[in-house]
Formats: sequence, C-alpha cells, structure tokens
Amino acid sequence: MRLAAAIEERISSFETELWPSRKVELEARLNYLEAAFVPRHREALAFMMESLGIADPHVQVPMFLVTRTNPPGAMTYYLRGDQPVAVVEVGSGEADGLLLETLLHESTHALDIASKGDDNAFDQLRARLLERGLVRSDAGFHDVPHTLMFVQAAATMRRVYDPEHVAYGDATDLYERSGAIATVENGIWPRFLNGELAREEALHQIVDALYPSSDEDPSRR
Amino acid sequence: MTDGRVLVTLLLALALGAGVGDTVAIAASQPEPSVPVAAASSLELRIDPLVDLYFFVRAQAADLSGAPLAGYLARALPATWPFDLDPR
Repeated sequence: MRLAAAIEERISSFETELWPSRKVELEARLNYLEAAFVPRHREALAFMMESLGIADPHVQVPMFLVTRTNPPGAMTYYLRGDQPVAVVEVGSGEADGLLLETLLHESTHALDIASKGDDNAFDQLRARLLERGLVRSDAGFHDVPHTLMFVQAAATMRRVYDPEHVAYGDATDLYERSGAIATVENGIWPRFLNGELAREEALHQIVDALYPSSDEDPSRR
Repeated sequence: MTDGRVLVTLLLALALGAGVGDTVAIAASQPEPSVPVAAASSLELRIDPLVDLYFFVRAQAADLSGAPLAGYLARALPATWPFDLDPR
C-alpha cells in the first residue's frame, strides 16, 4: 500500500509539475507533424505497401508521441487482435527529416504486424533466411528484414517528402553498425524501387549475398 | 500477468479509450484530391500524459540501471514488448 501511495503521489506531481511543460513541447511537435507529415502520409504508406508487397490492412495506427523513452527511442507493439500501436520519442533536438523517417519506420512495423501472413517482403525474407539455415534466434533473422525497413523508409522519404533526404542510417551510425546487411540492401533494394529488378529477385539477391547457398556456383559469389 | 503488464493494460485502456481528459487526438487528414495514391490505412498521432509518464519512467529505469528502484522496474516492466497483451 505504501508503494501504491508513493506511485500515486508521483503521478500526481507529474501531472501538475512536469506534464504542463512537456505538453507544450509535445504539442509543438504535433503541430509540426500535422503540417509537414500528415497530409502526405497516406501516399507514403501506399508507396511502402506497394514496394513491400503488403496488402493494405485498413488499420488506423495510434502513434503516441512522448518526450522521453528508453532506447531505441521508438517502438511498435501490438494489442489483442494484432492491432499495432507505436510510441515515438520526439525530442526537439532531432532533425525534422529523421523524425519523419522514424515515423515511417514505425509505420512499416505496424503494417508488417497488421498484415501478418500475407506473404509480404519481410515474410519472404524470413522464409528465405530459414531456408539458408538461420534460426529465429539468430541476429540475422531479425536484422535483415529490420534493416530493409530502414532502407525502405528512407527511400519513401526521398520519394514522397524530400528528394535530398539523408537516411537515418547514414545520419547516425546505424548503417555502420549494420555492416554488410546495410551495404547489400542499399545496393540492391533501390534497383528494385527503380524498376530494374523484380521484388522477388531483389530479395533473392539480398539473401544470396549475405548467406550464399552451399550448392551455389562459387563463381557467382 | 506481471505488475508491469497490469500497469500497461490500465494505461492503454485509458489512453485508447479516450477516457483521459487531457488526451489530445489528431486524426490523420483525408488525402488531398491531388494525391495520386493514398492508403486506406493511416496513422493517428496522439499525446497523452499517462503514456508520457509511463515511458518517462522506463527511460529513468534505463538511465539508472544500478539503482534499486530502476532494478525493480526493469524486472517488473517488460523490457521490449509491454503492449503485447495477447495471451497467445
């Protein structure tokens, strides 16, 4: 009971002492996003779903803007029935373009969750990775589709919002930390987006480059 | 269900149920006629004091991982998937 009382007291002080200034900060970011992001975001989602082979799940995704959260600063969860919900830290110090790309990245998670089982690009990637011997607990099983989400979100930024947009992965150390995965995907996926490759071929090339088949012709590696 | 999940259930029920007086919900705008392709799916940007508080506490727990309270929170609050309330 003492713990409950202490928590209740802290929540009360949060609402009266901390929340007013946080609300001002969040409303400023909300107003910015309402003007800079929302009007074209359905176009951006359509481009991402078309690129990733996602059948539009007709969902409205709640996206909570918060002043602070634990790393990595943005997350997407799901409720009962696979309803996605996202949380994004919107610190005023982050560049506007990176914030917009973060919203698109979390949108990709949400659409992936909502369309589970629809054989989208991520499902196909995961299936190909399992075929190459990876198991679900392998880092690559998570990182290969996750890095592609960043690559696609950055491409969507350039296509819909800002042709000069610098990818989050380049502006931070994300792509450097991703290593070969980011290098391979940034080399292949834009060729699909530009119409030079079919999606299935692009996915095949990504997996082949990262996890060559043991019976593949060595001269192709 | 862990204590953390109970807390999150409460917060989300309040936040998503629009039962919190200070919740600000901005529905995504309808597409402009000039937009050639628009998804049926959309985002709904929101701010909410309870959700902000919850993630503020999570941030503090992450910052102060050596402190007893943070250690308790880190164990009590699911680390990566707190909104996964589906019992599957």
